[in-house]
Amino acid sequence: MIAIQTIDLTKKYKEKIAVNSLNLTIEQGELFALLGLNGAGKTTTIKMLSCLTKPTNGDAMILGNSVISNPMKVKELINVSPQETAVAPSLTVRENLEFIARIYGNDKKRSKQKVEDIISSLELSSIAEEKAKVLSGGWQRRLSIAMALISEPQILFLDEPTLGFDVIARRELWNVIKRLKSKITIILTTHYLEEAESLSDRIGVMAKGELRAIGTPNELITQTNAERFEDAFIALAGEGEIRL
Amino acid sequence: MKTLVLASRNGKEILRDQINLFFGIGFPVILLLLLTIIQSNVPVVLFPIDKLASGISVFGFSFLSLFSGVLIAKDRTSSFMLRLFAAPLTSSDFIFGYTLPMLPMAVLQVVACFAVAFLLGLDVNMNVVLAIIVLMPAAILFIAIGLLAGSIFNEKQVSGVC
Repeated sequence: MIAIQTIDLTKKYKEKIAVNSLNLTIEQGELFALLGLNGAGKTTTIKMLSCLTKPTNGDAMILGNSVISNPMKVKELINVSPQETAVAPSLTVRENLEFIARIYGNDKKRSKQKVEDIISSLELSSIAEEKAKVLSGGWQRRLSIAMALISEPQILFLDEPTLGFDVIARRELWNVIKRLKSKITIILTTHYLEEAESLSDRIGVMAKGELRAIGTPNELITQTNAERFEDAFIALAGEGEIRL
Repeated sequence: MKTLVLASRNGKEILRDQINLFFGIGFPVILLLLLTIIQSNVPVVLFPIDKLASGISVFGFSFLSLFSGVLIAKDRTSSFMLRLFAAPLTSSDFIFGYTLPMLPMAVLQVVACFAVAFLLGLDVNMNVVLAIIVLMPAAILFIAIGLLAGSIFNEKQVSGVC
């Protein structure tokens, strides 16, 4: 079943085209990585798919619901972990999680149950009563992802989830993402190529607002006659011809 | 329901900052005491307590603008607002969610000001209740100014504007 389908999805800021006629189909349960240089249009694409910004042209269907005509239904089905850590600083970890569970329509009892489940599955029990503002960057990001997961989204958008992490924290988060794979659809943007290569089922490479190529890491390597994935990415994300 | 959940979170964010509590309630009371002391030491009537109490109450509302404005500006800059925008919340959830937690604070401010004013010689009568009721629309106006400023400016700018 198709989780996400974009139809000529376009976003313009005055004369600048941030995303240009994006046509993309992502299956349910897939972990899809969007790669590209800075300003390639990855975050704008995620913002349009998560109803945070309206497309200038085109549309996107999220599990059959249009982001333009039915954004509230879309918002019930998805959740986002933004690029920057997005937690309520003066609330404890438990309160942050309960807050998100409740704004997604769960009653108090159900929210508490969900909080216990997510604290257990993401190993947050040691910091559950700590205020978010005193946590390290790694824990805050883990909490941010837990807050995105507690609503049990069918589609999860992770915008550069390991940005600024040390090696250990990154590997820990990779393990969390791997555990989620196939249970939900995950759209990941990242600048770390090894992250995309290790985690993703398929990768889309964007450059100057356009989708330059799409496929598994091996398919992209073959497509560009490269030796390594990094070479393939440079060939696709650089100034070369569009290879769709 | 979602409005109340958001309001509860916003209330906790504001009340858990001890400096907010001091400036919101303590500072207007201190100002009331200082001006009353000044009044008792000058021969002309500058700050009669019946006018001063309500005036200081309105002054205290400027802190409500500051608190609501800074909270929104912080949420915007930390991407927390992005998370809320991605949630199934309506515009009224946002407006009331950020306004409601400020109202009990406004009432508390006014009550604290008048309680101290009673100790300083203000007559206790029903007019005080009327004054509190009349002050509430003013409180909402100050909160709204804070929400507007927080939606437009960043945290540092809000501190300057409000």
